[in-house]
Amino acid sequence: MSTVVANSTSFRSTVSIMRRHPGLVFGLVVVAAMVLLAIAAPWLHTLDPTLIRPRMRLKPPSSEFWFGTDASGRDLWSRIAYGSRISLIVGASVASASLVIGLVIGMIAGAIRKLDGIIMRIMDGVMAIPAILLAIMVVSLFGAALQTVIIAITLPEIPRVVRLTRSVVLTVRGEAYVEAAISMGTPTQILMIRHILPNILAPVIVQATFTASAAILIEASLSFLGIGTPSEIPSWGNIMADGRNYFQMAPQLIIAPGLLVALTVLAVNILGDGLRDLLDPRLAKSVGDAR
Amino acid sequence: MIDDVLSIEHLTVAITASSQGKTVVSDVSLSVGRKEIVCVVGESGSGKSVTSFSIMGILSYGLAPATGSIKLLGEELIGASATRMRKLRGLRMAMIFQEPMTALNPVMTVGDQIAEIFRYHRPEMSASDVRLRVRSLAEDVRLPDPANIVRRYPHQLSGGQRQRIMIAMALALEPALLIADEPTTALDVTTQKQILELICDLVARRGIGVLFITHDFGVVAEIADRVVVMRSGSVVESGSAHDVLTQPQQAYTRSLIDAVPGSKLPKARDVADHVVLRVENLSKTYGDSSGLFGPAHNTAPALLNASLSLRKGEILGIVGESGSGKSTLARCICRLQTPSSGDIWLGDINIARMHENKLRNYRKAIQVVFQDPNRSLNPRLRIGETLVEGARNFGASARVASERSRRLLDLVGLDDSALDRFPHQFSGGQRQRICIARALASEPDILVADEAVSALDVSVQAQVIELLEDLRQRLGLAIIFITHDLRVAGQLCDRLIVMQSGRIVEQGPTGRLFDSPSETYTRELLAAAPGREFLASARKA
Amino acid sequence: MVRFLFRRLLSIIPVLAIVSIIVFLALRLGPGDPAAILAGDSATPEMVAAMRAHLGLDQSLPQQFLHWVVQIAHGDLGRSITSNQPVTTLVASRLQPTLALAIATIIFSILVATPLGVLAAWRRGTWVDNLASGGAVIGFALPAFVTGYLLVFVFALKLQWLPVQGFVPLSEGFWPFGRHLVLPTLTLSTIYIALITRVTRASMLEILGEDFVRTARAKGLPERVVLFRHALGNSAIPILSVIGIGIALLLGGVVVTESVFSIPGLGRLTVEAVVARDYPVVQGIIILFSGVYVLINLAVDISYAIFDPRISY
Repeated sequence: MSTVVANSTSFRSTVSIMRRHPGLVFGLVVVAAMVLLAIAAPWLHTLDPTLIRPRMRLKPPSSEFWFGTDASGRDLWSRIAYGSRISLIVGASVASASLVIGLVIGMIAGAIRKLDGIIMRIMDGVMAIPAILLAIMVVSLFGAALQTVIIAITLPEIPRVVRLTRSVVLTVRGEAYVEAAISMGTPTQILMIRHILPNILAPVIVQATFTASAAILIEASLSFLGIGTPSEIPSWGNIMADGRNYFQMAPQLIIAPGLLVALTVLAVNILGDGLRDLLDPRLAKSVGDAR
Repeated sequence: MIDDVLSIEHLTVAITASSQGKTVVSDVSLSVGRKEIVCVVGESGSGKSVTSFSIMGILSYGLAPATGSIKLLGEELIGASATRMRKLRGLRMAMIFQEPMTALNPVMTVGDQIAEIFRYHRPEMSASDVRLRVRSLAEDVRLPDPANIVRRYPHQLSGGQRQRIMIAMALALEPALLIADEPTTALDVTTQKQILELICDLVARRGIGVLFITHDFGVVAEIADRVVVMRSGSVVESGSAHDVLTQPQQAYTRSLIDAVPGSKLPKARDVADHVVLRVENLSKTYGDSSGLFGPAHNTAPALLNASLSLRKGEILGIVGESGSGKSTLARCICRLQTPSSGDIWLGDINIARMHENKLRNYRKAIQVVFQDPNRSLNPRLRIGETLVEGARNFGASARVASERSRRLLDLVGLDDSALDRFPHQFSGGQRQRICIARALASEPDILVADEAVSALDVSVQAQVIELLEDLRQRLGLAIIFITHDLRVAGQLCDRLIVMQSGRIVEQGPTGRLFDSPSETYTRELLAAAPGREFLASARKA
Repeated sequence: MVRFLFRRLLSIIPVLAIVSIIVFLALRLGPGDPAAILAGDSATPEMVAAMRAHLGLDQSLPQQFLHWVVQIAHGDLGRSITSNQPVTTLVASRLQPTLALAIATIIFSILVATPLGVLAAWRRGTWVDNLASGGAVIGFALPAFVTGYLLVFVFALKLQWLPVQGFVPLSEGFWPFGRHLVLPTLTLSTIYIALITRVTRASMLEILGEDFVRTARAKGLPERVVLFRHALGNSAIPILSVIGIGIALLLGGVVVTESVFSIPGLGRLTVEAVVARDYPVVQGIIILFSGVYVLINLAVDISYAIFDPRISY
């Protein structure tokens, strides 16, 4: 038996974690770079992303316009740099909102038998509607604003968190240490907060990273289809939607923002995989596969 | 020896990923002759299973033999080609495993699983010949109604029948060597006896050599010709079964033999008259509330009309095989389940169907210790936090609770430094001690130990049993001790209850029950306990 | 068996009920008066009121819902606002491209992903596994519009092997039909293949660690039998279930893919309807897609019983 108490904050263990989980490092680095890009966009050789220059349409990359200009003469690099803000805001908001709401509903379903059936039937119903279509329906009804898009994408993600939370709660509830706590007369609220919540958090947080990447993907898809974030806001999906008709002349209009979406989604997914291996290898199988 | 079926010399198995050449088995030598049963004995982590997997060439991912030699009928197996090894498996050597449920493919009929051996080793055999052979093999291992049973799936058979299928499969091509890796550990004791008899009989009839892996010296005493004792990957001692059992040379071997439950006689003890728990006509039927969409339930009662009483300072053993209802009885008594009918009297209060809100006040009196120490402690809480919970729930101040947890740790033989650590930093035996300390935190009158020593190695098992005995004497605790192992129960309990199919078959003082059981089933159970004759003679000596 | 089927059929009723309640409430409680929209911009208040009565919007919400559900049960999904055609007619006219794309994708994905996942699990830790697992992670992150345009760029614009976009009905010959279907199928398959490969590999790895696989090896069976008969046979259920769940992903992907390749299918119809605020069409397609999803997953559930004798009827 080891007598050394693991101190996760020490430098040496951080290095060893990084060495054992290269994916985690890659994901963190890329996500950090994206966050940096989003914050520092004004100082990264960017111009006004919405400024239309009728004489500068579809210019090839140059020292002034790093990635060239689009069909309205707007600077593509500036639009992409500012566009990262939308993706990150959507990813982070949808992940945290669906995490909190899903966790609460899932714990209620897992704890109170009477509500379990009703809650899960409703969740099954929501999950039966393909996520993009549900989002499309909400956006089409309430109009395209960034908040609407975030709500529209959060809605279909909630049932996944609920399902996962509930199933982990049920597993943990059957564990002997929870039964021991019950037989010690521990009140239900304390049982949920002290014994169950800490032991279900790891998989749910991992799920949240996958939710973030799915949200970024769906936002880009909706904008690309012209029914997402309002078209005057430079989001990656909108940039691609604008570039569709000029694909043969200036493929970078689609390829550059497209690859950034892919890179971001990839990095967040790999970060999630890494977190999963790090936090709870036992639960590695149950999370993230059923997307 | 030319006659050896198997001879292993200086075998070392290493972890391939380890740059320091970390080994799990080092310098092991042993041999098995024809018509001989060689038992390899050791506790978990002794390397006994890894040794047997290296013979078969089916080591798991990340392990590989580093040095040494394994000869099967004179043929070297280390370095043999994969094709050759595959031929030899099944043809010259075969293996049966601990858990016959998981060792059989759940989606194939057992007959098909036997038949496919012929399909790939004897492609020239016709389908009807294969069918006949499968049937005769099923008869050979004395399966009932062989023609029909081969058409069933594993989940439709009993544990003993599944193990017989495994043996039939192993014997299909009449190999010279049978490796049996704890083949009876997962079985009930009466089934274990039958399987051991079957193996002995096959050795006599067919002249095969058997390498039998076990942790139980009781089993060794029943079947072994020779014994090899292993510890931490090395051979500690080997010799003829008689010599090792009666005159072990090593202290470690001695301690393993002594740790076999039942090698000491239960002492007659005085027990107070004060009854702390009375259970009357307790019954439990599962699934009595099936919904419209719920699966169909079988409604056979898991527990029927069980009555018992428990006095202060008494240890009451509840013994039974799987499905006997002993765990249901225990879980109903600690109200982890609600009984369907009957009464549970704590003094003059009946808690049998009391609502959870009210019940919470009475939970203090009955505490429970579970089987698997790995899952019984909240992995995210320090031991100190776990230990104060029970006392805090019943109104003790933080200071009192923390003082009490120190005292409890001392009582179960651990020191204060444990308070700041997490469960994963302790061994299985230590964790079980912590679980006992936690159970005592609310100062209960009754402790329910549900198979609390079954998952532990024999030497650790003996220590925990000693601890329970000690607690009873010091605290006047009444203990309900649930076990499948009559030998363990006999060593510890004042009184025994024998259960079968949800009913209490017989109950009485341990000594009386052992010496003159009145029911047939109790007699069968007693007769099936492995190593009974050896232990009896050891006790007399 | 009959009882089992009956129970499973019953169990989809609540799901379908929830779906229709969500769709119904979303449209009724959303902003904007459907009657006003239907009556058009130049309508007088009287015309709107007449339209409201005509649509039954003056009834109570539950009555409206009941009325609407009865209509759907009769196969009536309402009429399009823009073209005034029945929604069912519109859907039928756009069905073939979507059906062709979806079926081609499912078949192609299963044929590629299952062997790939098995191989990766069997050769765990080798370059084959790294390639397959890495490819799956990347494939799962590639949005359909990126894959689509990359494929168009390489195979249609540079190499000029395949058409850039469009769809040709099967009635005009299999060759043009097939040629137009290749790139969209590859595009839509990427994420599906990634998903199935990942799950196949994971469940194979789990099964390969099971005792009965060790038994099969101990019996001296050839590796291919161990792998395909014993291990894959037991992985069938997780693989099937991810194929079923993946249908939702596929139906969502259809919308984007059809848009990239200008395929006149249901996905395009959805986008057109949303842009034109043609709510009955949006409603109809969502009900249809969700119904398909539920039915496919019902079929998957029932098929479990074929693959696993422990699941009793």
